[in-house]
Amino acid sequence: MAQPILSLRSINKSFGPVHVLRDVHLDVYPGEVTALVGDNGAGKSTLIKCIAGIYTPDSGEYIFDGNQVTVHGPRDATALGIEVVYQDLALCDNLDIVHNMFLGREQKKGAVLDESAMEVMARKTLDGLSVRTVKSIRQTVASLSGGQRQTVAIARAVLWNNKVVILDEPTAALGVSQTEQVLHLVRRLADSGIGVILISHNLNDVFEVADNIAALYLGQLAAQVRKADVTSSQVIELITTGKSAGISPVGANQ
Amino acid sequence: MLSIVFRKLRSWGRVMRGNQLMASLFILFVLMLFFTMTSSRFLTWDNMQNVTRSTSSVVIVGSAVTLVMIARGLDLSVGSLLAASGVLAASIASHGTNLWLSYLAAIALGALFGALNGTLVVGFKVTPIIATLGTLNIARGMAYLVTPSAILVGLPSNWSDLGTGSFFQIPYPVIIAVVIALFFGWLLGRTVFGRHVYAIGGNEETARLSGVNIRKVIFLLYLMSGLATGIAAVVLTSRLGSGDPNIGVGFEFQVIVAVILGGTSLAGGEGRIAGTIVGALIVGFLGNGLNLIGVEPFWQYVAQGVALIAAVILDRFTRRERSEASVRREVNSKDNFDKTEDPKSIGNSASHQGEIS
Repeated sequence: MAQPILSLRSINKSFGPVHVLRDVHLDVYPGEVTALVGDNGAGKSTLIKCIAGIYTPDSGEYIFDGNQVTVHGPRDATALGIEVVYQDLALCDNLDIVHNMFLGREQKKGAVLDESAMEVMARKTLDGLSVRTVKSIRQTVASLSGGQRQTVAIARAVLWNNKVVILDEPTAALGVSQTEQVLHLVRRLADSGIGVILISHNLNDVFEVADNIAALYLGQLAAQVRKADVTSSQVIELITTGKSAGISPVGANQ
Repeated sequence: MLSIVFRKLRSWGRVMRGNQLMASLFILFVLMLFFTMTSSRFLTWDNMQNVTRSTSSVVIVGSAVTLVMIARGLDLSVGSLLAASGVLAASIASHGTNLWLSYLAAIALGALFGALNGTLVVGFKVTPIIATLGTLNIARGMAYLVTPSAILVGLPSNWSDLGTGSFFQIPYPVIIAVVIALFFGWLLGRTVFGRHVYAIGGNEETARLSGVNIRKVIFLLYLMSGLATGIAAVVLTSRLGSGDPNIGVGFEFQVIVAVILGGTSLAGGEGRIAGTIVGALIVGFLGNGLNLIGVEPFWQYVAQGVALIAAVILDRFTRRERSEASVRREVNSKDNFDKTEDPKSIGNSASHQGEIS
């Protein structure tokens, strides 16, 4: 097994008296989809925010590409090559696809925006992901369907040669066929060598695309297992009770 | 009866949707046609010069306020600030100071108030409407503190050159307004800053998560609004030939009407400088035309109020059309998704979108 691109060791995080994350471990491998599952309040969001630099863990090791690093803010995480695609905050409706993909990182020619260069790069990225559903990359995001919006949000994350892409419930608001589309895209993302973290409540999705499943239970890692080694009902057990017969509590992966 | 009017409005909105500028130009054209037919003095070179000259301050300030409103902000302080900056310049100049130095002082005071608005909104998180309502009163008070009545005496002889002179028949104020409008148009349409202004208006949280420094952008917007007001104050007081603390009452209203008539969305995220210029001309020609046909000045307030409300209602209707369209589109594209790999279906969805947009 290759070396993990991102590895968290014994991460703890409290908000006042509430101990949200307890000694959480997580390994994310390049070229794989690591699904992060858990019930509401299990600590998924907090863990993601620790990775993205929005929260700083109270203790624990953050190992990126074999080196221990400290991440003090979203900019640090972005600099490492970690990108988060937030569930509903990913895009500005009034801007077109190109503008959205480059928001915050616009290409300039002198003092002005280099529209043509951005358009070429956006087109190339969408083609690279085999996205053929959008009519024009100059249409506003408001005119896109849910699946297309999610596609643009993911393409935005790919544009910058990121090493880790975190997807926060990318299929939550989508219909059946659009979900399928987005899951294909998630797979292609991983196949291109990116380490993908997929947060999802939907075990069907998880079993369809994930290589690796990490289940959180009340702020602790119940287990991180290979998909091939578990069944859906075992994962449900992990989510609801924190343990399952035949799965050793933590580090089943090692 | 009312429902017929609504349907008419909505079909009109559908025609004009996607091209707010054409809609505003259409209104301007109808207005000018009406006054040309009702007054022989309307469509004359002198009157055109006169109206564009007096509209220039609305264009100067409106250009900056357009950006503020696209970013979902508001600046109500511009009218009072116009008076405060104007009387400051006049007061300094009447004491024998260099004319340009007094102009510079007026612009500096504008910038100072802009920075104050920006600090209140960004630093203290006061909502823009309240922050600038506060500074509106502060600026008006300061104007009266500088001078309780208009300064007429002691102004240098060249005081009015800037406001009343022209270059090849084009009044200086118009040239200044065009230059400033071009600058803001460039800033909004061509630069990273402008793109961030639209992004903030579209979704502030998304912009923040994308790494846009929204605090800096919003602060700069209010600063520029104040600066533009300072420049407009210089142009206006020079044209009027006095420093009067009573000027600019209702000016903020004219600016906001111009910006909204120009197609800037009240919900933010949409708008163009060209639209604001047309909006300002509508406001200017409306007032001028009503004057010429002998309507009492008080009715102009009524007309402006009606214009504002009508513009907002039209904005609401076109917006509703748009959101209905996007729902329909969603349904369409869902149907099409199963066959997305088939290039024909892409053409199909394109034709749906063409039909709607």
